Amino acid sequence: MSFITSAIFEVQEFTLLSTRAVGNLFRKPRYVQDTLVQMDIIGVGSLLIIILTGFFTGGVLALQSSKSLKAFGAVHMTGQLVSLSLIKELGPVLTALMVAGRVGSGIASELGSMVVTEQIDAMRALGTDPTKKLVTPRMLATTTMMPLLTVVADLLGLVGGWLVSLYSLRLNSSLYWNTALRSLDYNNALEGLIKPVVFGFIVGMVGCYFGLRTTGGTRGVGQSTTRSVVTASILVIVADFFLSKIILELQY
Amino acid sequence: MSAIRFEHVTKAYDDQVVLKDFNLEVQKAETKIILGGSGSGKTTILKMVLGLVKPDQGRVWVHDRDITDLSEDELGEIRKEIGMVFQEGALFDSMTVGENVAYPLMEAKRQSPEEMETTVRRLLRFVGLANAFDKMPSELSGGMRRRVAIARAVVHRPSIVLYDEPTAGLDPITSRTICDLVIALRDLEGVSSIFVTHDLAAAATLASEMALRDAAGNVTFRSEDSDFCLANTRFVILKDGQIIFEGTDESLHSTEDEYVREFLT
Repeated sequence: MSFITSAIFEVQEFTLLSTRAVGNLFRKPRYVQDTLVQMDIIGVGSLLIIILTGFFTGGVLALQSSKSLKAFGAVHMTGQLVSLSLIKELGPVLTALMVAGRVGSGIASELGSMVVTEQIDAMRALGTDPTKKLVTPRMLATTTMMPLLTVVADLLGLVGGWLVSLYSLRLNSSLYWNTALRSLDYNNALEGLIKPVVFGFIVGMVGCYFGLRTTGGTRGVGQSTTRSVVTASILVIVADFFLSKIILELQY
Repeated sequence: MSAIRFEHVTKAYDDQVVLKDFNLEVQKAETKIILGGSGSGKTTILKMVLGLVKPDQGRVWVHDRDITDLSEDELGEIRKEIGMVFQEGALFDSMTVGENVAYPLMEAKRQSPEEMETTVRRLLRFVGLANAFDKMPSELSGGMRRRVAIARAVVHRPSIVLYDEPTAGLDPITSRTICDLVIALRDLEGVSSIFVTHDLAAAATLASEMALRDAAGNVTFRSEDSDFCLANTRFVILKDGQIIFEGTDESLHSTEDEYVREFLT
């Protein structure tokens, strides 16, 4: 198989699995318990890394941008710059990348190990559809948890930026929060919430897809894990570009 | 009426042909022991009975129903009739032993939790692992895992059980326990089965011993002798995707075929 046909084949298989995973939401049986467990692992479990990522990203944004802003005599705009770049871009993208690294890889290696130890075959043999029991709960969990994690990252980022502005740039606290919050309109907030939903879907589905396609024993599990993180990260960044483009088109 | 029937089945993975015009019939309450080198398509045969792998050509029948073209949902019905013991057990490692064995019952949703627990505990006793109920599969040895897998495969009382090398790499005593379980299921429960292996000692035990239940309900085993010969267990030997021998253990040892003779020594 040439590179192009195999790439088309992969896209087709991924689309089929995704359609099935979404379709399962409307078909019985539904595995509510499994979904809640996944939400806990993915959402609550990723909280710490998201808090750290958000906090320091906000901080470094304030630190770096203040220098450029100073050239225009606009240091007081630091709050606006931090909040807009965080909420529209960096919050969703960095959260998605962190979750892809932590959760996407975990999903791929867990499902991959289940494939190589024949647990997936055993599940099918016992009359359970693995897409219903394994894929849909994970897809649903990443899709719903990603926006929530993004909001946490955004908030902590603003706090990080505020602390830097206050202690390092000697800015007035109320000035920071004023410019930060006033610049946020409904559209910006919506953009910042639509993106993580799409990213969550990508991370969950890519993890499941590569996990279930694992072949070749434990080495195969390692390869699937790597491929899932790489593919999910790239897809997130590409999707971010197109989503930004579409949303900008719609706004004007 | 046959339990399982393969008709002219051919299957290839990429360029490698694993089954070539393969025909096999398993009668009700009969055990077919399939012997063959690694990569001779033994596991593929078992997965085809479950519909996990589809043949490239030919048809597969289970209980006189053609399952070749059934969808995943329709196969669900067929799979309820079949239990499979996977190589290495394939227990769900995120669940306890009890939950693993109860899994088919929970999916069927026909029993109350109390009834399920009673059934599961009875079965774990049957395979000699009464104390393992709350353990995780990772805490068990290979032989114990295989026995839990047998319990899980038969908990929903299937009429067909498929064994994929259940004795491979086990010590003779554990291997013997597993053979006794297989024999008991065959002779006392009337289960039809395919037993894939390359463990000749286990195969010989299966083909020459019979389980009986005495008046007190205890299970005893009787070996073949001059006035008793077991006929419900037959050997099938595979080579390059085709059957090169089929028959009882007596005819197996008197065959002239070179490959079979080589295989037996």
